[in-house]
Amino acid sequence: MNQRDPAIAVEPVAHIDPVSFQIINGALIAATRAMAAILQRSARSTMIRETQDFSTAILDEHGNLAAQSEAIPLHLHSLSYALSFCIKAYPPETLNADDILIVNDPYHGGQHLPDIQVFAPIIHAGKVVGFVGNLAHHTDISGGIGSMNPTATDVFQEGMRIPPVKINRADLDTAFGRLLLANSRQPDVLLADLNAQMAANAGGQARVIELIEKYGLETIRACIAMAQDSCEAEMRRAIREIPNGVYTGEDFLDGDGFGTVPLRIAVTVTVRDEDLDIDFTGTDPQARGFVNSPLASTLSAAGTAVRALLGHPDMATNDGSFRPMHVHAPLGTVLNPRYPAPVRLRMNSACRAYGAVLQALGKAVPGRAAACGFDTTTCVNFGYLGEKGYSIYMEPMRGGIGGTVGADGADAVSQLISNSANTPVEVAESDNSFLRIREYSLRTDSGGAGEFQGGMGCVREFEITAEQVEVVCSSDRALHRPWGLNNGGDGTIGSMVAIQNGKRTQLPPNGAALTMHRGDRLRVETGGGGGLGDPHLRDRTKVERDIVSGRITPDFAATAYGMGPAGK
Amino acid sequence: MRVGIEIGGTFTDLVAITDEGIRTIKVSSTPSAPERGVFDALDALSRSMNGHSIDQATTLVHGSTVATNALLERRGGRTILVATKGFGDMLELQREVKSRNYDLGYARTKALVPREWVIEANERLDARGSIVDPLDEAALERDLADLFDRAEPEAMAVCLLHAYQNPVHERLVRDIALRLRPKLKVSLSSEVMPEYREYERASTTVMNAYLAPVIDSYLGELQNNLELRGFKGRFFLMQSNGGMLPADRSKQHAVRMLVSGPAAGVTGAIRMAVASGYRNVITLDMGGTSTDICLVKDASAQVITGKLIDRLPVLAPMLDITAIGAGGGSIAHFDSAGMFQVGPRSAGAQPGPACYGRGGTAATLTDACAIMGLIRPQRFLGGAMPLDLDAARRAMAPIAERLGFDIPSAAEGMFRIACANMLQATRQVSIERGYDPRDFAIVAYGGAGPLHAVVLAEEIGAKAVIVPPNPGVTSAMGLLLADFRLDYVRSRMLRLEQSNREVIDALFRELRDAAQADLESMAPPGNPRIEYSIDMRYVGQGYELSLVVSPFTESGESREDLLEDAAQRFHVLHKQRMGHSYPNQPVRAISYRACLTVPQEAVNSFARAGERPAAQKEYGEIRWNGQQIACAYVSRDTLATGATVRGAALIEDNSASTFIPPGWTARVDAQDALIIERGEEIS
Repeated sequence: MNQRDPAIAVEPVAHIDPVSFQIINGALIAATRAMAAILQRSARSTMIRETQDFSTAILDEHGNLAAQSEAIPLHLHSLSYALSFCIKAYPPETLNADDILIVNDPYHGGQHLPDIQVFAPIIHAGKVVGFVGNLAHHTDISGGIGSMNPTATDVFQEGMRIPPVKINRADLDTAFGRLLLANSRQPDVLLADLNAQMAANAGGQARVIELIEKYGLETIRACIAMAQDSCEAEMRRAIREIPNGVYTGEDFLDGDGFGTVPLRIAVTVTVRDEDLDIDFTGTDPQARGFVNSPLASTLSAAGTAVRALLGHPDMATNDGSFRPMHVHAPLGTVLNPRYPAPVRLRMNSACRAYGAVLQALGKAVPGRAAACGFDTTTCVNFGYLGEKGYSIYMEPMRGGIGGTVGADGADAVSQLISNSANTPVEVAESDNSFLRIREYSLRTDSGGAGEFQGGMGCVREFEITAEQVEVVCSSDRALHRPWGLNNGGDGTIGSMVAIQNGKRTQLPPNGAALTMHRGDRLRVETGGGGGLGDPHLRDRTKVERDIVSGRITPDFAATAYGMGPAGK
Repeated sequence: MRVGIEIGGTFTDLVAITDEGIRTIKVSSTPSAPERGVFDALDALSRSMNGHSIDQATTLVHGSTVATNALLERRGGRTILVATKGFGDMLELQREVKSRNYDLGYARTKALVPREWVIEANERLDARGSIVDPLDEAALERDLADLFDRAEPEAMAVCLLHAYQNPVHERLVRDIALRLRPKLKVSLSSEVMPEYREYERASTTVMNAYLAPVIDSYLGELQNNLELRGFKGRFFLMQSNGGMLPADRSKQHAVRMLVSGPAAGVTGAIRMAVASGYRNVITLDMGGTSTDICLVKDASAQVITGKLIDRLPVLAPMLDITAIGAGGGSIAHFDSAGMFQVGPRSAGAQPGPACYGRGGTAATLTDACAIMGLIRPQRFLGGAMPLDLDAARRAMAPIAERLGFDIPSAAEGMFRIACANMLQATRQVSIERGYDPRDFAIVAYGGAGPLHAVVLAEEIGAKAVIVPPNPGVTSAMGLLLADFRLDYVRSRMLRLEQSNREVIDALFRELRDAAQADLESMAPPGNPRIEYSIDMRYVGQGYELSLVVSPFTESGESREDLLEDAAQRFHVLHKQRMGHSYPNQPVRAISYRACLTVPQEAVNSFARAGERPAAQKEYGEIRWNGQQIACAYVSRDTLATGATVRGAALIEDNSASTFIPPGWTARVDAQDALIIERGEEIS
């Protein structure tokens, strides 16, 4: 995914033996995990501590990914991409050890505005020799509640933009910090989470410097280069197993955030020996609303699909993983919008990019193909202005994964390009006195039929217990079902319904903002994944098990699987 | 006489403290029927004592992996779950997060209760524990009766929303169920672990219910057999918190025994380190498949309240032990990127390392140690099991070839990588939690711990290494050194403000009353002590830090400055552990704990009695830093108090050998422990 300046050539580095490599590389990866632990444990927002929406990494002197914690695939390439914009603004030779680079602007390498990325240089003998960095999803930096505004037509309506800016820790107490905190509904939480990000970086910086002092800079550089090269070689070996050819895939978003005219996401994947060209030409022009995916998200999504299809889930991830992939997303499309298009809902368009690549590569390697999952984050944000200021509760909800060769799709679980957790009901209700959750369960008959069935979607029903609660929600796949594969059935759609004064209102597919009051309810359903393979080939004992456990009804078993009474 | 019996993966160890001294017995474990290993050990004890044996014992403490194995092999009882209406899928949905990325076929760990055995009770509490919807008892009774017929359950778990605040509905559910099935084993979430986060609490409660029938029948077998052998003493079981409890009481909390084995080891290690004068230590227990590491500050290990076992959350008080997949059986291999790795795959006991000569062909860490000269083939386990060095070299040859190394260098590479893996875990428990390892000594035990400990100490900067006498049975010894211990918890989210003082005081009184009631009913010998603590966080944070507090004055009255004092010390602790604090922000208390301990009779000396054989040194060569260097081999038996051994040396022992690298010196202290420090001479 070489979107960076090709003039930055990797200099030749010292040779390193495999034992030293293993010891030092292990220490670098452990350092990123230690950073993640600091960040998660000292953050204040539910989004970081419960949902775990963050990633940490160590980057080399050129800003390329050297090591990272196993976190959220959608963030992974993002860190080095965002850092490249920071370095452009602040060349490494101008940086001091206590400088901090911070950015969230999607038009300067960022994802969406709530994702603030923070970097710190690693300085040895007066020279920048690398960086540590992390990305964390903040709860609110203005714009709509939880910085989610379904009616936004530009990025300015989505919150506060931070272009690459150089600060230091003390600046959180001075002009920069005051300006930033004035732009959040929850300034204390924003401050604590930023402090947690900086503490994580400080921990990473100290550890890398300790390693440099122990093993010498040249050895550390050689180790990083070797990790990247071996990752690249492993990717290339895996790509070699895919037959050369040109493969296409497509999928659709329900609409542009305002209407229900579907938006097409299209990809052409060309396999050339050990390189992959991933070209999103044919994708629809950028949308008026918040469904656009900035390039950083598109790159990560494409990379995730390739990694999933190659079938080595435990492969390390660093700059080398991306070298054999060449991604092109034409400027001015949904997957690489022009400034200043809104991007808050980029998860779902990035998911479609992932799905299109998955479909294309599935044609190339049918033995590892997978049907489409619900692959949509259905997110509900609640905001309540009480005496002690704003309470904000954000709940991203997930649907089923598609069936794949050899395995059913998992039920309601984070889609492959993400990996975040739910908020426990007891935590949500303890932290937010203005609502109650009435149901949280799997949806019967929601997985697509197939030899390998799609995973089930789920439902969460919220009851409002106070007056004047602002609700902003967003989703997709209320119109377009996740596709099944090889005669497998399609998955199911989701829905968001407001129940007020006995009246049920179906909310628009991409989302809405509304005010709710005591006794009102919001019922949110996510869909199930598509099935893979002919349903009639499904193991009959599995169908029977699913009936007994109530995952499917006897009617569904009869219609979809041709299963008569008494398992005939 | 006091007897400890520990069932491990490979061996069942028995340690008896008799008037004549300490006796140890090792027999093979019998995983398919673990009680048989116990009987074998008792038979062996009886033979060694001329027929007298367990009938002379006043106390028997037992540590067993029976609960853990039943969980891992899914051999628990038929268990049903009652949940709040709308939330019956807690066990299926879990936390919606994946334990690994990029896996299209990702599957969660299967729930212990099948979905059709979950029923929902029509009831609801709010986050403060107030009743929103009362329990529909008639409907529940019908549903339970139906489920009992369908499932024929042995055990029932109940986990209702916000029951940690108010157990009223859970207790009603139990009453109804027991009316229908008086013999059903019931676990309530409000009793098993009353803490918030419903999935984690439900998982724990279900696990407790699921294991109860297994533990019950296992203990039944044991107790019958002990009775036949004339045992009339008190029977205790080891807990994951490092303490022991009467067997009848501990079987109600099967889930609290899941990691009792490693906890026994840490308990033994702490007591022996203290006897040698060290109160701040890092324990290193390295066996055949894994290494357990635990940081001990001022002679006590941190107790945590949860971890994942088989990817299922378990909330129970347990010593904060970090396990990594590095052991004597860890296998060398190249991963999919072609990178050289050691472990976590292990050759286990069968076939075991190549040098065991049982058909193993993979190069293991034990093979590497044999090739390096750290283990002498004729002296392994005191010569009881000669090793096949050629087999070790044959196993290492392909590894060496791929690395482009000679065989000894490949072996040393394996050894170094294993130490580096331990180093990461040791950093994690020390530096990354705000502790400086230079203030700590490492206590090494388990079959392989003493071979690696000094190298680890060098890497992390620890000041000394302690190898207790007979390091292969430290865990069994720990059983006899464990205190009687019981943990209590109440959860209630309250700001640390004077307006909440009365409620908090009342919670602590409740805890004190519960502990005192148990003291009366169980009447453990010794002087009881109750320690109280509060788990706190800044308002809005998700993770708590625990702080020891004194809620009562000497006369037993509630202390007035409790909250103020707790808040102040919380800010300091937060700064130490997280690197920053917010002294102006409100602090919220989440859980209130009491820990009842009754220290048991101390063991005054761990030293062996009797004459020592004359000291003998043999010399040989080992591989170290890429070179063959001279090394002394000394038998530990021959070393009397005050003896010193300078590195490079190996101190050979029947259960584990200790490696002293160049630049370090070992001395034998009055407890028969080896104390190994930097330098050529001991000051």
